[in-house]
Amino acid sequence: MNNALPIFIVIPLLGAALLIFTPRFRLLRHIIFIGVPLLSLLFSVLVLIEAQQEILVSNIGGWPASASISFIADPFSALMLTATSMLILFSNIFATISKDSNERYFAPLVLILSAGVYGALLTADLFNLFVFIELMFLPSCGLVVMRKGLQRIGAARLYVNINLLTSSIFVVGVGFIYASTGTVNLAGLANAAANSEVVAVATGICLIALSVKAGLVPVHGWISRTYPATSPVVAALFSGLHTKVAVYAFYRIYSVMFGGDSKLLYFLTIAFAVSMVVGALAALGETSIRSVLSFHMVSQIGYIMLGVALFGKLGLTAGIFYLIHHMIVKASMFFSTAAIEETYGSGYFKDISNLLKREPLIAIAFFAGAMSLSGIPPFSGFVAKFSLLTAAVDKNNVLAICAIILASIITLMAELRIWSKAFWPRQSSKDTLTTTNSADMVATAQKTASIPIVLPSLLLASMSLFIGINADFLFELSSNAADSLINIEGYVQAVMQ
Amino acid sequence: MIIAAAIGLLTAGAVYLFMQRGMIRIVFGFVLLSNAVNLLLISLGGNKNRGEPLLNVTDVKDIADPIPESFVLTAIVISFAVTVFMLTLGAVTPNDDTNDRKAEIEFDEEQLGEVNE
Repeated sequence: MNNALPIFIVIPLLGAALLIFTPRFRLLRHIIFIGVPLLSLLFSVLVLIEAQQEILVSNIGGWPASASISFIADPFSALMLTATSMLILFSNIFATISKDSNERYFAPLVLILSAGVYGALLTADLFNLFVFIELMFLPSCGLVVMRKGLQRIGAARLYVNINLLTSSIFVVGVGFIYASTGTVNLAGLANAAANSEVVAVATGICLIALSVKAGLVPVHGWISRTYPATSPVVAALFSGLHTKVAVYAFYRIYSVMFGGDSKLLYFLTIAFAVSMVVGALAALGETSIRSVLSFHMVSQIGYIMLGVALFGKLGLTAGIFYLIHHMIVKASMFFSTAAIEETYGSGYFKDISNLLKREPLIAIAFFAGAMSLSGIPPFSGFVAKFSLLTAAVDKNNVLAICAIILASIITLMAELRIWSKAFWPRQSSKDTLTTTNSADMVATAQKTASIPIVLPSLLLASMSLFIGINADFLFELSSNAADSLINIEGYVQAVMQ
Repeated sequence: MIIAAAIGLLTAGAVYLFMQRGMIRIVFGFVLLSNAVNLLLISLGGNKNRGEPLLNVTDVKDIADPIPESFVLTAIVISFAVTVFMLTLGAVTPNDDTNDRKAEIEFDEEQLGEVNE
């Protein structure tokens, strides 16, 4: 099992290469496009089960640990691996149903992107992390421009510029770490930043770059500009992968290199609390479903990162639980929005209304997602927020407690605003004067959404409900993951063997 | 010292170009920035020892650190690929203000025209 870890990168890359050269075989494309993530999912479940017992390590090329590039699957990376491969599977199924995958290079690009994600989650080498983040970033640029209209070009330009700049900053940080310590292997860098100011500054540069990639306030602007401009299924895919990998790397680097250094936690709390509240407030003023969801993502990233700021068993467990919950729920909401946009051609509030009557299934999925996101029981969001709140109370962190409660209320307001604009009938008497020309796309549409296109979001929403009712299972996995972040000796020993 | 000054100069030029409006200038800015990063990476292993990293051929204390060199090689390849992609994005439409509704309609019509021909 140990030496099999590179398979996660090899199989998607081989599949992508095969698809690039065989564009005409439609059946082959469907099989590879769905089969590869399915295979990754099965395999990552095996890795997850095995990683609960002992940490899996694979040194590429059989070099001794100090000289080789290691792939490592501890409970945290195995959990992330399972969640991301599940998301990729769902989004590939959606893309096949909505026929997005018929676009010439769509399927290969998604597969390359997934290889980058798996690599970034598995690698224990900082420079390799940079390479895999680039491997995620390049196909994503292709996916962003793959849409009609001029808007995507503006979005793609912004996306490329921001990501290339942050990647450059990240690699500079990695370079400084190498210059000051002589290694970029995380196992060799345990507690390095906590013991030396020079390394701490170098690591800080990396962490700043990762915060831009994660979309924290005040460097969140690119998320709310690019995600609504991509095609709906691509937005769903990105929401589960890009920012989450950055969050994962932040968790990993902070706990290994800083060893949970408590001097900085107060500043981190301030940064994340601002992110939570500003993201939730900004969502209130948006004019389309997807831009509201994008701003909520900024706010939710603040929640997830709060797990680091409340460093400790409780805080990390809550943060990791929140991370998995968020990936499931956000993808579910993006899928239901994508179903609306695929059917009615627009996600702007001015074009749609009264969806509840016409699309009860989408409405149910969206409602469940909205309630879970704002933390209403019995959905998984309630458990996630409650455990985060418990951790904040345990640390006597008043700022975190206030931010959690305040941002939840504002999030609920914004979700209700989407509900009343898009799903409730339009209150017409006042609106008719201003919106006489803009035809309501729902009222004039010929067809309703087909059932298969609604299924991914419904399945993910019911998964959120299941986790909310039966949280022990995921909670235990998160708590094992948190343990592996706190006891880094196990991680170091596993790599250095 | 001269390497530090060169990195500083390149970065300053890059930042200046980022502040300009046109996409092409931003691309030039990234070319400067990636060169600054490459210079920085190559200087990580120390600037005194620049011998080939071959055992039994070069004296061990003269051997250049091979790891930063492999970093630079990777970084050059990546920045080259992204630069080509960005130049394409810059060339697709000369218009830099992509929120312009009129430009968008013209762009769509132009594309439709090409398809019809």
